[in-house]
Amino acid sequence: MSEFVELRSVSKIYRMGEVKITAVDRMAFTIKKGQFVVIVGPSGAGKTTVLNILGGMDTASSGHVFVDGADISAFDSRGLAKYRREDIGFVFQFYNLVQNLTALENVELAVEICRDHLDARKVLSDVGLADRADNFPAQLSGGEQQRVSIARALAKNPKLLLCDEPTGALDYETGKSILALLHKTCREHGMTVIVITHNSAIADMADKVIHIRNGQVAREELNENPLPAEALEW
Amino acid sequence: MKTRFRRKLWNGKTMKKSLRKELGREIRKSLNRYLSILFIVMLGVAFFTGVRASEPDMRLSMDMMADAADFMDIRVLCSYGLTEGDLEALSEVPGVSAVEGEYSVDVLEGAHEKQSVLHVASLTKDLNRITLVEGRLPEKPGECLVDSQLPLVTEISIGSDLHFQSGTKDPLSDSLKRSVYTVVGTCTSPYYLDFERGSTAVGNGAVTGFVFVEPEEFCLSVHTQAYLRSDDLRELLYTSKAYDDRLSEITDAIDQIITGRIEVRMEELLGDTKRELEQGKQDYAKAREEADEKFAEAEEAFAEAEKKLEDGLSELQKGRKKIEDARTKITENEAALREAKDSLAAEEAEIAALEASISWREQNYQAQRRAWAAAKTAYDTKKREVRAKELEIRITEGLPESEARTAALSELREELDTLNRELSQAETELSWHPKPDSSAQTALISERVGLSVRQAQLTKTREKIAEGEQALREGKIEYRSGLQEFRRGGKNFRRQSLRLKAAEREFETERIDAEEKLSEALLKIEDGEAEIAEVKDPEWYVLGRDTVSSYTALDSDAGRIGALGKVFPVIFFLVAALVSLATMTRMVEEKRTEIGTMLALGYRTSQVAAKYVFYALSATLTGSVLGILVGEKTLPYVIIKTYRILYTNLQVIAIPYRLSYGIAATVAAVVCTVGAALFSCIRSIKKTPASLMRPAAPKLGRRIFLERITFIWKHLRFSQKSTLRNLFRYKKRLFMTVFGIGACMALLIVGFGLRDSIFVVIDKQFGDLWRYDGTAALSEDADDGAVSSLMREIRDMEEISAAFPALAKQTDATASRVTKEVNLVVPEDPEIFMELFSLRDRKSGAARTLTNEGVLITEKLARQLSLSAGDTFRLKEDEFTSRNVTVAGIVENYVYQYVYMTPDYYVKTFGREAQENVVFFRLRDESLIDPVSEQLLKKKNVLGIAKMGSSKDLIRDMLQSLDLVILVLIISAGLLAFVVLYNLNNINITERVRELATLRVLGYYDGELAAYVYRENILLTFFGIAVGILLGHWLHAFTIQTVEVDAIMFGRVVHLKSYGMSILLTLGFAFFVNFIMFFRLRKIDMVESLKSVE
Repeated sequence: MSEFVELRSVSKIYRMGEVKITAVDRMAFTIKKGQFVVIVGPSGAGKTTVLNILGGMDTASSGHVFVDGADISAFDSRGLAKYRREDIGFVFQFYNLVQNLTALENVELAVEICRDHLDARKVLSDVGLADRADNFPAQLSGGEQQRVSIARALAKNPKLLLCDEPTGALDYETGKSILALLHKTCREHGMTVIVITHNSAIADMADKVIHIRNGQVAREELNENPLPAEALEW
Repeated sequence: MKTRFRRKLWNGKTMKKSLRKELGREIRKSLNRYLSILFIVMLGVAFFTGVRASEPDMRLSMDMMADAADFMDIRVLCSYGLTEGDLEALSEVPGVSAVEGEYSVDVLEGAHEKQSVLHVASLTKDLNRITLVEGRLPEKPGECLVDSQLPLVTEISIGSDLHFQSGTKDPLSDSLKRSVYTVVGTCTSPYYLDFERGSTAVGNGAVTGFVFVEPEEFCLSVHTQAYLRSDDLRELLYTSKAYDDRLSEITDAIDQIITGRIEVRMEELLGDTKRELEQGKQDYAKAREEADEKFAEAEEAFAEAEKKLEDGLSELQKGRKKIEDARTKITENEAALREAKDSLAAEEAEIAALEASISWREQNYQAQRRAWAAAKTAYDTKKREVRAKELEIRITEGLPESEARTAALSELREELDTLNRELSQAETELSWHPKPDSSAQTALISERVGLSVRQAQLTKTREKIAEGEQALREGKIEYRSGLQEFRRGGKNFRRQSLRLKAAEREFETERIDAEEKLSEALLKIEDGEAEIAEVKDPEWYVLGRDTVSSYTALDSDAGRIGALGKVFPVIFFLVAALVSLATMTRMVEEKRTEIGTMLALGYRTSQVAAKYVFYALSATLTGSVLGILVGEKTLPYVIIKTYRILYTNLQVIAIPYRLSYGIAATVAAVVCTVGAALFSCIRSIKKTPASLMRPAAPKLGRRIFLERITFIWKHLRFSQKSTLRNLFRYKKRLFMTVFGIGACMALLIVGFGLRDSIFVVIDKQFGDLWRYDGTAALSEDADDGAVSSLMREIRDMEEISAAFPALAKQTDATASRVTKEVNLVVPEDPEIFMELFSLRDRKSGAARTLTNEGVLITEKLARQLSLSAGDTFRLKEDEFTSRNVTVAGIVENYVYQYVYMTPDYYVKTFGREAQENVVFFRLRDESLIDPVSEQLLKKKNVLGIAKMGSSKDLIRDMLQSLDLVILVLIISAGLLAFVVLYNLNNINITERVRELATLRVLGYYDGELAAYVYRENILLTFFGIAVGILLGHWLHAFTIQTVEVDAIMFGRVVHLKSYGMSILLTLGFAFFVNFIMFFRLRKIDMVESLKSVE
């Protein structure tokens, strides 16, 4: 299996006046297509920066990022936007649903701009919210909102599903069900899923776990037998 | 108070140090917001105070300009000019500080290509000081200064010679010493602030410019006018109430000396003439009296003579009566006498017959006797017979001599003879005959005695008759002499009366002569009196600056700015206040977590609120102060500066800070923003800190009404749906944006609409409604004959296509207790009048006809007096009387207010003929106006010409100044739109930054993201425009009414084009703001989307 995602010596340096802060320091790792990957690390390790760079929300100061063979680090802002809309599905810690749109409409919001998209209603029913499609976010529970968020990401039929602490704002059980959903998506659709979390317990369900510390990959491990989400405990 | 509070807050217990620091940091952090509040407050305050201050600043500048040039406060004119004595008297009036007389005359200047009319005046030393622009002051006789405007509009320049000609019948040498003057400099006069140089009766009627010469150049004996200045008034602001009050005190004081001055002047002018006349009058009175006395005497004598004559006449009549009586008596006597004579004759005849019978019988007796005698023997008897005969003869002889007697006598004698013969016979026969009876003889004798008695009686009668005849004769003689005397008396009487008549005739001629002489004298006196009467008392005019056209014009322009300043800045300010209010509210809402934390930490409510209050207060105060500093200096400066395009000679621009406006605006702004901060804080603080520290429950998504109309909703695209939902989600923003854009739109509509309304006046009034090219004012002396002969001349002029004379006068119309000044026009010929005046209804355009049913009035008058067709109102005739007139119709009109009336209706209303005093005329070609007015001015009874073109220009100039205001409006509308939209967009983006960041993460391109936001903005902009159209329509109507002066009715309609322009401009502003916002959108950091909800 070829490398679907590859980071080559990616660095990100923030300049705060005279001070230089290196958030990511010559990071390199690869991810294969269809893998469920968990990037784990403590706060300030550079997880979010990696996520931003992978998601096309930020650019690397140096190094290369290849996604499905394209060097996204060479993209301009429009190229990145295109990359975001065509290739990336993003699941936010706080769901980031548009409050003024119903669940279905929130999915449509993504579908709107996407050429190769899935049917919004179907995706919504796939995540188990067929009967909540016309509810507004405020009428949904956190888990349901996150499902909408996932549905929104999936409806775009992305190449890569990026999840930023998807369970961070959720309770234990709901969190697990969301992880199960993500896992299911990965397995059933062959979707490459990257979950970023500080919760190492989740690592057990991943095909590949990347540990990050101080802006560098501390260690990578492949999980031959990932646990199902239901079996996780934290 | 405020500062103390502030110090307390800053230094005392209320404001902790950390909070103070926090505030500083907060400001730095949200500098954008802080500055936007500051800026919008500044803008609002600047505009508010600036425009508000413009009006008083314009007035102040005018006042300072006037003071700097020692411009007169009062000018006094007298119809006979003012003497040195008058000036002196004026200078003694309390309150008057300086008086200076001025000579002036309007002349024609013909040396240069185009003839121009110049106003030549003497240079004043102390008042109305001129400002030298170029060259120098006149030093030698024959030098002059000219209007600095003249070199611009004519070929006159420094060094050129001016050749003056008189423009009137009087020669130039009556007023000026020479006719050629050399220009040595140009200057401006404080009397003229603008281009207008006034009108004149000379030349084409319009003064081109003024010329100043030394007073010595004039040979006028009296000053044309006097300028007065008052130190009291100098202290006061011209046009202020205090100024007006003091001014009227001074003018009242001047009014009090006028009567005295008029007397003095009249004495100077007419004293001798009057005295002569008085003498003449006295002489006449004396002569009259004498004549009257003489006449009376003569008349008395005549009366006496007549009386005598009458007496004579009655005596004469009495005499005649007597004579007539006498004559009757004579006639009567004659008749009586004739009767007596007749009876006498009868008696005589009887007596004679008796005699004869007696004789016969006696003869018989005698025969018997004779027979007897025969018997008695012959002789005896015969003897007796003889004796008897003899006796008879004697008797007969005793009778008065008569033929009968004579005859009888002779008969008797013959008989005697016979008897004597017979005696002898008888003596024989006696013997033969018996003796006769003696008794027969006795009877005969007695008969004879009886006869004798009768005869005696007859004799007596005869005597009596003779007596009567004698008396009659005497009576006749007497009558005749009486008659004669009477005749003489009659003749005498006739002579007397003839004489009297002659005397009377003579007296009459004498009297007529005398009367003639007297009336001649009287006529002379009357002529003299009329002459004196014709020399009317001079009229004095005491006028203020408000009669100087440029001052009035500037004042009313200031008023107009003031009127605008009452409306627009308020709207502007309102929007600014609302926007800053919204910003503050938003800020407090954003900071709920922080507020909650502070409260949880144990800070008191006031301490927590203090931060926001000070945030708002400092932004607002700074903004206000900056606004005042900038606004009160910049706006009035710009406005006055632009007005100086018209008022070139307004040399002073005074723009002091006016604290009152600033304080009012600042207080309002502070109340708005600080109030908003406090209100929001209090609302937040009421909640428990815990609930505050939780993120605000996200605003519930809600279905909007439109979704229920599924067949529309279904067909909307997703993005449209979300746009619509978003709009209604942020109602506050929706309202603010709509209001902001609406206000901008409204300002623009008002701006353009004002233009429309104003130019409608010019286009319609001077294009459609008034179709005449000029009017000629006629002299008051022109009577009907003079007017009709003038009209013949005018109608004969080739250049004039139509003309009619009319009575035109200013008067007052009153209805429902409102009185308005109106122009009454009574055209002699309503037909031609309706040709030159378009009479129609404004809305329907239907023509209105001037009939004898009533008057036509103009629209604004109808509105002001709340009149409609069929109503009546009172039209003033003179100071004391006014008449009811009926409104027959209402006609479109924009400039001044008119009442049109037919001459018949005039007669019906006022009971007298309308005396025409003006001629309206139309030319075949408008451009002929100058030569035609010159021709007309030369005609008798034509006093002046008013040209339509120049009125049009005047009004256009006047109104064009409003163009500047419109520009200001447009610029400010733009600023307003920008600030409001920018601020609201800013709030919008800040509020939704998470959402927008998410969208970016989802892969929205910049354009799409912008469109997502702009769709709402565009929709709101259209809403705003729709609201703005309504608001603008209303505001325009309101503004028109505010700005409108009595004399003018502005158009009420805003052209579609103006709406179009306003919409385009508003869209333009909106586009510009959105364009600016695009950069801000692009800068939205996607990382925001990862942050937790605050």
